[in-house]
Amino acid sequence: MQIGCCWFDKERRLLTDQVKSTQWHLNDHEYWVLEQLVQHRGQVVPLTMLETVVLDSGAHQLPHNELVGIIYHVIDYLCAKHSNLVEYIPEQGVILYPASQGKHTRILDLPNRLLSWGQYGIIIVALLAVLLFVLSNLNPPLFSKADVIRQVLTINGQVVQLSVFDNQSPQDAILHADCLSTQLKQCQEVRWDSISAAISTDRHYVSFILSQSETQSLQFKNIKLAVDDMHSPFITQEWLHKVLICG
Amino acid sequence: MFVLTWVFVLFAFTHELERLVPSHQQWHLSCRADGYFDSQPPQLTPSAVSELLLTFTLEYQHAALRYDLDNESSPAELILLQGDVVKVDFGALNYQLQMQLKNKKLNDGSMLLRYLLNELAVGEAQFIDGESLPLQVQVFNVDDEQSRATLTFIPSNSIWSCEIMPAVLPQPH
Repeated sequence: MQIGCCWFDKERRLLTDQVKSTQWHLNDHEYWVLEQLVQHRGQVVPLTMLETVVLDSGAHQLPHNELVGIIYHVIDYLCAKHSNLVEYIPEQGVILYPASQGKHTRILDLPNRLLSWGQYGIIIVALLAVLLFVLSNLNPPLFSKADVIRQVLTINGQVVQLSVFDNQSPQDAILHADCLSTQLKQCQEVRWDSISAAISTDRHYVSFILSQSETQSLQFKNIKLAVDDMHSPFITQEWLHKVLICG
Repeated sequence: MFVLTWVFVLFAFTHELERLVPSHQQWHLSCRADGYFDSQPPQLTPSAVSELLLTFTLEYQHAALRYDLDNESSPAELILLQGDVVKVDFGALNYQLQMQLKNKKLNDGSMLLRYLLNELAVGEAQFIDGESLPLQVQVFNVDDEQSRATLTFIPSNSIWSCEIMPAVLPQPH
């Protein structure tokens, strides 16, 4: 019969560990103890009952020390893979649990050996993934998305990042980006690395944010421009010089 | 090992939460712009440049916006709005506010008023009468040093690059 991962052959008095392929030839006393446990599977077998060995030749007492040694040997042999298949209650008795007991132990019963490293790893990876997901959603967005992004190359080889925000009309955003980049290209020197322009919803104002990275820090400047007619070319060379975008 | 990992994960999580959440319930932003509000074709004269200052303060449930406009040709103008935070979306750092005009100093044909009616997307009568004004602002592009942020007014699409000021301790009254 099967006990955990061992096969118990009563006729040959042999306990075979099928995983490790090892065998244990049981002597009279060992066989007696295991036989009693199997017969009373799921129940506590009192030590007094195990100590009274009944063989074909007659009954005799088993010394307590030898009995405890046999119990520990059985626990060691059976329990490598099934940690609480056999439980020894000192001074009381021994219980061999039904096979199903050992497989469904509760996670918090024992801190060791209940989760395999694989399961453990999967849980940790899943937790970290959830953590990263939550954190990525908590972080403020680093950049809002501009409607038009251009890189403008000026006469003297400087690259200026141009972003235009227009939540009303993508065509207008492109138009203004074209206009700005045409004018910027004609500048001798542009004082800023990055220029963002946002066209107001009511089409009467344009907000500019200019930024320039210095050796130590970033320099910023805001410009607010009122415009009568958004479709007239309001960005001119004169204006770019006036507001110190072009040097 | 298992317990240690749990402790580490929880620590990292709460640490990040603590770092992110409280800082986003308080903002003290100071913003400065050059204003070109003579909506003439840009035949610019020196007097056409105005200095427009915006101070945006948000402390938990309370918000305040102060605008100062200065130029050489006319007396300084001022608008102060105060109100409450109605809704916060931490994911996008989007704040819905209900503001009210608390103080104003405006010239005839005020450039500041004209500008604000656009930026705050409100009607003049509603604004001047001190009615409650719904307002939505978004803070983004916060840099790694937490020293600068971009403030966007929704739906007017007006953007400001602002300096993040250290939190001011409450003064005893």
